[in-house]
Amino acid sequence: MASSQDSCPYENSRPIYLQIMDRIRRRIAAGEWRAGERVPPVRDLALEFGVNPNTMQRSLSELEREGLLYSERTAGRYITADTALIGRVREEMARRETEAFLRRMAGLGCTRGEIRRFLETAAAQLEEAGEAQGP
Amino acid sequence: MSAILEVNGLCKRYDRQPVLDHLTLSVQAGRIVGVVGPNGCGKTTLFKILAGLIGDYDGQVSIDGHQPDVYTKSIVAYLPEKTYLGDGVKAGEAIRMFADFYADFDAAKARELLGRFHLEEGQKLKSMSKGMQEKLQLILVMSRAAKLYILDEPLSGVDPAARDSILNIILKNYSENSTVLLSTHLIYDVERIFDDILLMGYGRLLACESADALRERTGQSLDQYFREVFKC
Amino acid sequence: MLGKLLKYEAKAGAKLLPAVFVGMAGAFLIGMLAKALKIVQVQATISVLLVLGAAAVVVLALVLAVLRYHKGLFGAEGYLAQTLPVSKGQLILSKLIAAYLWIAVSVLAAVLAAAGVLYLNDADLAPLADALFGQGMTPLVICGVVLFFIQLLAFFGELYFAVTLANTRAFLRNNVAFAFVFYLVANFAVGLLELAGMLLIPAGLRIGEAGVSFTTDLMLGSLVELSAANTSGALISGMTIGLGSGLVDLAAGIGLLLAARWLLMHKTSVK
Repeated sequence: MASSQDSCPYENSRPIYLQIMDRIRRRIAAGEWRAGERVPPVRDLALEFGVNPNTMQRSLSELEREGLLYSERTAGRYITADTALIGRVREEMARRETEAFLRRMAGLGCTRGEIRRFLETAAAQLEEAGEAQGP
Repeated sequence: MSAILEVNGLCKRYDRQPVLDHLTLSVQAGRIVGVVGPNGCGKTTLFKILAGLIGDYDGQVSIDGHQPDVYTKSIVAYLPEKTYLGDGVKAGEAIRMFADFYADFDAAKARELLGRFHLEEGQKLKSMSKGMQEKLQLILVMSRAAKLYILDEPLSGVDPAARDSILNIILKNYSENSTVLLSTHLIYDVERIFDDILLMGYGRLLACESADALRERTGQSLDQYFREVFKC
Repeated sequence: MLGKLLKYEAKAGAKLLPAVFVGMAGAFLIGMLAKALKIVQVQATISVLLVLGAAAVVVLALVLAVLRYHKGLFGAEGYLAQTLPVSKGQLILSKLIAAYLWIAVSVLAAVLAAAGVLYLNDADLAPLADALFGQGMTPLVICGVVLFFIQLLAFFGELYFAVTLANTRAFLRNNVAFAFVFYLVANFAVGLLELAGMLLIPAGLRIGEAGVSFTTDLMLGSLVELSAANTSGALISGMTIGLGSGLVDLAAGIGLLLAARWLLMHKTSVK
């Protein structure tokens, strides 16, 4: 269930609850946590993420405020069924990754043509190895 | 959420040296609190007073509304740095003794944890390494369903793999009715589990803040913040 | 809780002493064998061993009691003992009772060893028995035994108080040395009070022609009478031995134990 990103240790200089929110957003965006699905209990999640249950609780509450999760009084917490919202979150995350990547490549002095070339080659290789999806 | 622990103007001297200097703090129930500070800042002395090992102090201490007494000892689980079990005591005997005296002790859980840490009931303490002895004492403490756990450097003599295991046990033990006070020098490895941090120095409380709030405010990790405050 | 504490305290003593008991029993059997085979040297050696053993077990039991209190409350083990959900009074009482039990057992072993030695050497027990139990001396023997155990209470009071006081803030750094000093001082003080009590408290045993009887005469008076009779050459009708020391021991023991408990509750620290 956990993606490879989650086994990285936390960055201790950023509030942990924000980092947990990022990781959960990623799971939802990637479809690992499917729309409308039930969210595991706080304690189990806290253990899985290796953090304090209070911190996990805060992250989940904040995500509820953003609308990605919602609570039903007795039934528990669920991932939103709003696929449009999830789509927007995914787009936003992808955009940010792209921007960060582009900035770093620019830092290496790469032109747009070079970046496009690197992208196409690497993407083809990953698709062949089965680690990425096709166009 | 009520305060499980209130300390007011706590003072303690050894000879003429004040080890605790009008220390005042309070801890809410259901929190995992990191207590950090340089050597000699009074952490261990504070813990010993809370555990009931030091009866000679000035100021007020209130655990669940009681001064340190027989009642608080039944709801406080204290893990000191040193080994307090006799050399010839076997792990299984220690478990039976804890089960005898503490109503909140879960012997089955203790035995399961023994197995997880590759210890055996028939092993005597003298045949265990220091790290194994520490693990055993930690197992005894964490197998209690206490309202207040006071752990004095529970990770210092333990290998990194076991450290993760121990942190997991602490997280698993979490409940709204239990509070953990944990002192450590390995701030970097441990800080992800802290709700709040109590920064002590020179026998006083220098900072008392939620861990994430401190990170947000300073843009630093607790480890970095500590190093800055106590720069030599 | 007291029962549980007592169980663990008693077990703590059950390592060395029973081994010595078994050793002594074994020695006695060897002695019997030597007696049957008429090997005199072995018999003599065994007799000496048994006598030494008798003294040793009692001393061991006393030393054990000291160590159990000091180490058990103020050593590393103190971290366990003083965080158990039991009162300080229960802690002290459990150690006191366990110490008494082991000493009683040791004294019994010593007496049996002595009897064994006498038996091995075919000692004529008749005059001894007569001296102890004949001529109405039995009350004296009983009083002696009772006074011994009461005096133990004073001993423990002095000991526990001394050790506890030595672990208060002012003396904590050199707690062992101070414990010794405090014990000697307490022992001396109580000793003086014992003497005063023995001589001046009107309760004693009158030993005279008619045997032993309880009396309210002062021992002091009896001593004066004796020395007067010595100089005047008159006949002595008997003498009074004061039992007041027992009362002093009882009061001192209880007082010191309560003081130790108070110190333990409010003034001590575990290093």
